[in-house]
Amino acid sequence: MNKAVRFIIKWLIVFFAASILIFLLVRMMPTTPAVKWLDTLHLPRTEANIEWITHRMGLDRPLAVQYGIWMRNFFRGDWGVSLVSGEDIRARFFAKMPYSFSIGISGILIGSAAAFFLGFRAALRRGGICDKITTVLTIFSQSVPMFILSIIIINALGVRLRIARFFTGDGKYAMLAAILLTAFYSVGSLSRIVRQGFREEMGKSYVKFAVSRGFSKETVLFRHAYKPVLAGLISAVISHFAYVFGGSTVLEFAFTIPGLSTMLVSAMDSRDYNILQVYILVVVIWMFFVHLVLNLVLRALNVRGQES
Amino acid sequence: MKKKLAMILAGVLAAGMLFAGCGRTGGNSADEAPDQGSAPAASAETDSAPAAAGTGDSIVIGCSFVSANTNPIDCPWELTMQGVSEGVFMQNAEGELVSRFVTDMEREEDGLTWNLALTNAVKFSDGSDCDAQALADCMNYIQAENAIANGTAGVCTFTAADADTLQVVTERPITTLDSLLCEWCNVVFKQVGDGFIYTGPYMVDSLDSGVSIHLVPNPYYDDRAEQRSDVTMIVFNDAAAQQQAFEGGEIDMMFGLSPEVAQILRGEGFTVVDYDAGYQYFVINNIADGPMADLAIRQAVSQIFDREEMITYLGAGRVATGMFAQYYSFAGHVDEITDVPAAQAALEAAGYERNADGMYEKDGEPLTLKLVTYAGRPDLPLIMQMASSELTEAGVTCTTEVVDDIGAAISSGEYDVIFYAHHTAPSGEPAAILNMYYSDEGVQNFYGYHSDEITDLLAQIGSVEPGPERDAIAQQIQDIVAEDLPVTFLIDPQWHVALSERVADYVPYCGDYYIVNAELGL
Amino acid sequence: MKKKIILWAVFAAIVLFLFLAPHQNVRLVDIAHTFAGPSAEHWFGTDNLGRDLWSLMVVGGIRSLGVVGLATAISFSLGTLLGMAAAYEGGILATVIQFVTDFTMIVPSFIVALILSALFGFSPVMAGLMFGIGNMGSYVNLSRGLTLGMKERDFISAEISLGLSKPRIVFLHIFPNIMKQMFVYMGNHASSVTLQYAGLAFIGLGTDITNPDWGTLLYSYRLYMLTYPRLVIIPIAAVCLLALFFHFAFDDGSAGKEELTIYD
Repeated sequence: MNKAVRFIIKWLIVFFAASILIFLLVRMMPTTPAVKWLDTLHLPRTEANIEWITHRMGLDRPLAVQYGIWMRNFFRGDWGVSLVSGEDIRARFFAKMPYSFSIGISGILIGSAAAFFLGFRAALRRGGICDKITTVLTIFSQSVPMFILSIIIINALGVRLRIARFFTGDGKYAMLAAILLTAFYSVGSLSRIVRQGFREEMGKSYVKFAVSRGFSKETVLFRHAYKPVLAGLISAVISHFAYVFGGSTVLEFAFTIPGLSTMLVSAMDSRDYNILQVYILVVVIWMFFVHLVLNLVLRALNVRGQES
Repeated sequence: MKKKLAMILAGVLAAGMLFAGCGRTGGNSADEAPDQGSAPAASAETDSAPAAAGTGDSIVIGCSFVSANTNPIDCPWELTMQGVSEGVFMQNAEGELVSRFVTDMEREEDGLTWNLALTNAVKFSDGSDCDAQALADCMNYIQAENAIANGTAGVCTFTAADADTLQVVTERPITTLDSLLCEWCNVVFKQVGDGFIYTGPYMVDSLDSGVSIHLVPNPYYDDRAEQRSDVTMIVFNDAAAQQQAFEGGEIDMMFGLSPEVAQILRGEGFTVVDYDAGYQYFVINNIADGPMADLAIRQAVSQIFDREEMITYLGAGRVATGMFAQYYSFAGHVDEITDVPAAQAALEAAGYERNADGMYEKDGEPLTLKLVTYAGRPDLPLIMQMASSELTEAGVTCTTEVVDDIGAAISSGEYDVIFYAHHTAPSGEPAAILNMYYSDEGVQNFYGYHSDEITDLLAQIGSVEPGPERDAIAQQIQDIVAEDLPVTFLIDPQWHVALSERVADYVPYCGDYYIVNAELGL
Repeated sequence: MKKKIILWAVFAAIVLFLFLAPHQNVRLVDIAHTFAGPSAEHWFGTDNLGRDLWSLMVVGGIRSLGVVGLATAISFSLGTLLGMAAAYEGGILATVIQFVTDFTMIVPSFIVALILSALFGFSPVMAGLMFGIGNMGSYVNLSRGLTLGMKERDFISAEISLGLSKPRIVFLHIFPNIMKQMFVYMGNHASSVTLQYAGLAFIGLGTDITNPDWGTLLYSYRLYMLTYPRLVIIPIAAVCLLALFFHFAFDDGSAGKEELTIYD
């Protein structure tokens, strides 16, 4: 109980620290949204123009008032409107989130499942084919950029063979490609973690004992040694979940998927304070839930994991 | 075990796709909600046509942005670019101001009142007439809601004097009304319920803010409406993706091609057309500080720039003759020449000597120029790279930087030579931009340029009507600029657009101002 | 062990070569000879502006190695130190460190990059700093976990009861014991900074074609890769060599032997 309270207090502090930090940071950027807005339309940056836009955007109020209004409305479920287009930010987020989330979540889940099997095989035979595959995948994902591979995929399937339409239509091919690429790029390093975990367990006496009793080592490892390895994998995956927000950027651009990153970059381009602020808060809330769920899973696996 | 895992994997994948699918439909419905102010012609066909682009016989255009909503105060520029709204006056391909609404205009003796004779031939996309009263209503609405519309002539009042006459009273006297009415914010619209309707060749069917927009022909635009197809515009944030989409036949028209991609596509047998951009590429010199404060160095640098080489690389365009694209009547007659030996002689006359590496220096300090530009206009980094190559070969040391925020870089004053692009005649007249760059309080006069002659000429140009006299003054100003070099003219560019067979005859004009015009697909 | 010395010697030689190798001025363009194939004059051919690709690789390599080096040095040193401190001290310090670590792991590095470069301008040094701190989290967690394990060992508890000074125990006794695994982790992750850096180009950072690094080259040449594949294959090969070097140079050979189980 005490632990649960501490967990919640910690995240409340993170939430408010993040909100204040981002609130001040965006306002410290040298070019203001008003000026950016004028620039986009090739309008002169006269004082009158800037004043009018700033007022229209509601940015001429005192900082404390702006912060207060923002927080109050946020908790009421009103996330404000875009400074540039006047759209409701919450509606926009909920329209964009499914793209980034399905790329991130499905990609990582598929990647970790594949990594678990590959890592298991790699642990069984040191220097065997699976072991080599894990190394090759790790090196590959560190040296061939995702954006190069995606161009090759689009060119092969969309331009030469013409069997998939990535940019028009309902966008299912783009999503599929993005999910598989995310999975592919996370398999390498995750499988090394699984392999390491299994090899550690292999040295432990309970495994040796069971094997000496005549069980095949595959069965022993897979039936009995998987828990600590899975816990290790899950701890590693926690950090990958922040990736749901940031990591799909390149894919969203390469396949023109209208996800959160695309929105964020254009918000940054126009210095849309409101969107930037909400974005950070959503990231914090998301990570709160990720940590919560994964801690519960680790507890269910009944191993002493890294509870944060 | 393996089978189970395979099932789970398939499940996750399916769930992911389903989730994404929800997102897409969810996005549309949110955008079509009436309280967003974005349900323009929210008639029956909106339900049946989601943003499923590229299906059917829609013309698909790849571009870098689309309008966020259909509100005439928020997005007039984008709506006009998409062929949805129209200005009272618009530019044609020759840079002249033309109007579908107004046949004639006359100024009364008080200098503030204008009487516009109307054609009364234009209809809104719901079939209702765009009469004098409708025009007056929307213009007054814009004057009240958009302070930028008051910038040129103060608050203007529009009244329907009679069925064929629109009377306009300006707060400050101006010499011509057509360029004021050509300003991007003055679009003709009519409010219907919570939505807005317009008069352009197309109307908005559905839009996904910042992602894509689907347009259908406006049946009341002219008698060719039935020949027009639907148009879908899709935003691409990555040039490589756009190129693949074009090569794969998913899009019919692709804007913003780099010269290399234009060349590659031509090599593959695609149609690539060059068209006048209206934008100008030039250099803003930091005359307040550093080496460029010295006129001799500015002249030498201008002579070192090899504009022909830049154009050869860009694949199209002309050497700039002033501040404006050459199709405008007020374009300059400046003759920019490349003469490296003369430039070097001038540097030597200014006291610079070549050191052991062949670079110019004075008192042991090398002559170093800091060049800067931004990536927003992809041609600019290429031009800067070529300029720095030319400068280095001529013996001038330079550093280069491509920054994210050019505005901040300019106001920091840390750079000597700024490569810049600007559409210099968005409303078809020269005075606004000349004031911006060369008058003492001009907002683009970053480094305190002042010239008595130009101050006088700018005062004159504000009081003459459009015509040969005004053009001559504009040209005079450009000649003085070419001597004083607060700005060095570089290139009057042409941009490339790749076209599929079905739109191979389409010719866009005026840069990215009118990407969709009435001739599309006809 | 010998293998490793050779590996390091080769790496040192390459780095030295990058600094000393004769190369042309990458500022100079030659628009009459764009996209030229490899020749005696241009070993790797020329790019879209007629610049010598070999020279670009050399100049860009220095920049890329700089970013990778700076980022890795920061994540490794700061991460290890904070992790050890958190595990050894515990209490409020550990909570604060964990807090900071979580924060760096939560906030996506690309938004940090956008905001920081809006505030201070973008440069390779800033990218190095940012990735250094952004990637620090996993180093902290790893070093904390390892130190916690060490603390339970007998010899450390003996030293604590003997009253040895904290820095002495931490730096002279704990660090050498966890160092190996830290280096393995570093070797496996260091070179990924190159691609992270290249990815920033999509959000408009580090797209400066006039001051290239390997990532920028990859980003700008991707437009021509299907017509002139050489232009992307060469930078990819370079990044791949770097990744291989890190992987094997820091791969713990002796741990491999210890790791051998009865089944191998």
